[in-house]
Amino acid sequence: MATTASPLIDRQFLEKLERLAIRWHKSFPGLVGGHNASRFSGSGQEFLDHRNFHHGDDLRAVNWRAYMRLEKLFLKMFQVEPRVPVRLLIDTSQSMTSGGDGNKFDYARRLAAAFCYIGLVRLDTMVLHPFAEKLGDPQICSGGRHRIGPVADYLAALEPQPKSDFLRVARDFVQRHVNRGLLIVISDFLSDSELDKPFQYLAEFGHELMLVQLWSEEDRTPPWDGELALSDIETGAELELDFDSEARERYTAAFDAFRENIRRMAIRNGGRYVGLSTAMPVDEAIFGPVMAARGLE
Amino acid sequence: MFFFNLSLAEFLALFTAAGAVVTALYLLDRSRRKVSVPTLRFWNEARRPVESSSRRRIRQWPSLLLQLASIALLLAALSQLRLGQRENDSADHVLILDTSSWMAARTGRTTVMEQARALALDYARSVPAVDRVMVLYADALATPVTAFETDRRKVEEALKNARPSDAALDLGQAFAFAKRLQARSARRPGEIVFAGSARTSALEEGIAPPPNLRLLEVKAVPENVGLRKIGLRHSDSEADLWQIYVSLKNYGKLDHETDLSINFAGAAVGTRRIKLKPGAEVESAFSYRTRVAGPLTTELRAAGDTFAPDNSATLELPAMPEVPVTICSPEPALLKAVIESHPSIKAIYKLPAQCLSPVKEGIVVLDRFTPGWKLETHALYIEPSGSSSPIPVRAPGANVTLERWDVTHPVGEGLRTRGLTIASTQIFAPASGDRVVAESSAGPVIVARDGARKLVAIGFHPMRSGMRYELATPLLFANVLRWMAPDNFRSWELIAGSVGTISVPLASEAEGAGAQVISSDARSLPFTVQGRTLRFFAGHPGTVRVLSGGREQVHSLTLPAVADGVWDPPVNVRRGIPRASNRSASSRDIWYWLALLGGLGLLAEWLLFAPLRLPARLVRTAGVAS
Repeated sequence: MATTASPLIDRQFLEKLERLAIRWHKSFPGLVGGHNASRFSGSGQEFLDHRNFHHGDDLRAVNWRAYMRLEKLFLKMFQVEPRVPVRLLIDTSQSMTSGGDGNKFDYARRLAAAFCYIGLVRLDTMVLHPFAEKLGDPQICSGGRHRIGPVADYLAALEPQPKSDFLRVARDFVQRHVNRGLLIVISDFLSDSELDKPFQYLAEFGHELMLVQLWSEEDRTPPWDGELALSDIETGAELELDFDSEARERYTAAFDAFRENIRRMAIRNGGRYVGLSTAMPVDEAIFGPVMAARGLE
Repeated sequence: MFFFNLSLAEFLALFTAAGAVVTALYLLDRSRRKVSVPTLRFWNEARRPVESSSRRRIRQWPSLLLQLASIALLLAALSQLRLGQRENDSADHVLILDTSSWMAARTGRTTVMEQARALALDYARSVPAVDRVMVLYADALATPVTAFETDRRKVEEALKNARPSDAALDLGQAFAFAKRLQARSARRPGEIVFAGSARTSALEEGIAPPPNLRLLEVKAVPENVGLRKIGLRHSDSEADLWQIYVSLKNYGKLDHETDLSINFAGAAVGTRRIKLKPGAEVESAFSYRTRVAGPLTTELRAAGDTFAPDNSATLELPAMPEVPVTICSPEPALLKAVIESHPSIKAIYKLPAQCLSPVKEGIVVLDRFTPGWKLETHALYIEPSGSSSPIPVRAPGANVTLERWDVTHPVGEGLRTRGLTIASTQIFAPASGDRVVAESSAGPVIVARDGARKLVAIGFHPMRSGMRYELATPLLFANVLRWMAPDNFRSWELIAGSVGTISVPLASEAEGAGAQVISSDARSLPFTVQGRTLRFFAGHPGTVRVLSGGREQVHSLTLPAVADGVWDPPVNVRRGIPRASNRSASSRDIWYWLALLGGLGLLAEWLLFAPLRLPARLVRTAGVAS
């Protein structure tokens, strides 16, 4: 069994994730398989049937035991296994580092590590992409559970970037990944850039979206009072205002409306939405809201 | 209205500092706080109109004012703000009550002390309530009994507890001390009041009355004839003879005839009738023979004597036992003259044939005799044989010259010879610890050994050698006997006197080097030696022993010190009880009300304005819960 000593994720948590699998809903054009067993034979691992050997067949699939008994060559056929690309986009913009004690950046990295481990256990191939203003270099994770170590190291080495640009990231992603697949986006979606258009673009291109929105309690309910001089951590824009309990209520209402917009946008584009507060531990989030949104099973 | 603890300037300085801190904290609390946020998207929604924000800021000004007012109230409480007028005309008085021994004298049915106390109490009651009074007991020393008090109960209690002491009054020192106390007081100096008889010592030095003095004189003039001093001296010539000297004085203004009687353990020693004129001092001498210890009581009876404490005194006579000296000698007559020179010696002469059993007590003198028994007492060996000498004999010597005496050793103290030749002697080889008292040209001839049983060995016979005509010979024997039995040769003096500074004359300046002054509870008292006078101070009645050289003086300090002079105050000094003043305290303490109001102000500020600052935490908690 693969283990990791990464500070992002511990052994006990990984053991809990062993029985989970990443779930997708769409059948992607050009790809065989889905979550139902295929009736076609192929290069899977589950045995399907025998047929007569024909010239040119792969000798590795010959059932030599049957040949020893019957002196006839039979070829073993295997069930085709689904091979849907799973890609994770992790927001590394400065806004992810705000939020006081509940640091969204760390939370996103732990969540991404958990998704990667679940995929590795199922021998899926995962592609990790950090993003901010542009799409970062990918990290391909495959080869089974023992490969979680390098993934954890990669995630731990990520550094926050200045600001995010979702439209540019979407364009880069589409250009780089022609094959459709499941796209898991872990972000706070707090950006001045437009959000509707990039995700609509990705969905129309054929990707299945799973938007995981993170927020800290400070993001939703600012704890300050009185005269505040605010500065946007990404753009540097400033705003001065007097903040009190009534203003806080209006702020929280606006934030909740924003969350609802993200959720609607995900559903509108045929995807799923998971909203997570960093106050909730990652394992509770995996077995709670993420499974409830049918992102895992 | 005025501040009791602080001046107005100090109060304002403190309030300014505290107010500045409170205002700074207020402004800091309401200053614009810089915060970095992930987006400004939602903050625009939360923005309030500008005029509303201004109103809110103005609305919190009462919070600051309430805090400042509360701080001011608490500071006023700390500085003890009082309602009314400052007591600028209040004063500090020092009430000196005479507690000298003379105050025990009776005048009619009361004592002088009771009269003086009554006057002092009247004065304390007549002093305005705002004035403070300190009570001072005055005898040989001035002792404050209270602080400057406005509480008259404490003053009256101190006056009622006053008792006559055994010391005489030192009025000048009491006045000087009272002036110093008033000078140190923060208030205006009031009066220095003296209540008592003003009988004082040291009048010749002059007494400068303070300008603010008030006298509460006790007019009574008691008649007194008393013992002034008693001295007992042990006779040097007769071992059992005590010489007694009694000094009497008439302190009154009338002639007195008094009966003086002395008793020893109930037996009469002597009685005399003595006539004394006013102010006269008479000495009377007695003698008495006794060797045993016991109390010697001296009593005085005089008609019309109003002061009893100095009419009797008791001295404890020590026992004077003889010291037995056993002489084992073939020629006892040779030593008779030098041994029997002291009256305390009981000489027993024996021939060698009679010295068969060991001597149990006293001193044994072994003249050319080697005892067949073990020594149990101090011993003086004269011309011991070489084999039996306790000090090893190095060699016999002939025609040796006595060259040196060790005058630092008690045996050789004061001895001196010049060119003395000794025809025949033993030369000793002293062991470590032995002291060579006399050394000849051939070696040690007199050696002393200290220990539980002291021993002196003389290598030659002083009475059979050339030394018999020397003055050093009887002195040598006297030194040997005194060294071996010092208690029996001590010179005794017993003196009954008064407490205070005692002066003891010394026989020589060297005596002071090893002097000791020991109190009745076996504590060493400090003393000074100046020339031939030793001085020490005894503050309480008791017995003090002075040991110096071969003398012991016992001072029985039981007689009261009676001042023999009366101070005659100047005419312009105020006298009597002043008219009583009903003026009461003109201000009232309100600090507790101010402290209460200040605390309530801070509580009200917290209840009224703290909710405006608290919701941040409350709302955040609600958010987590949801």
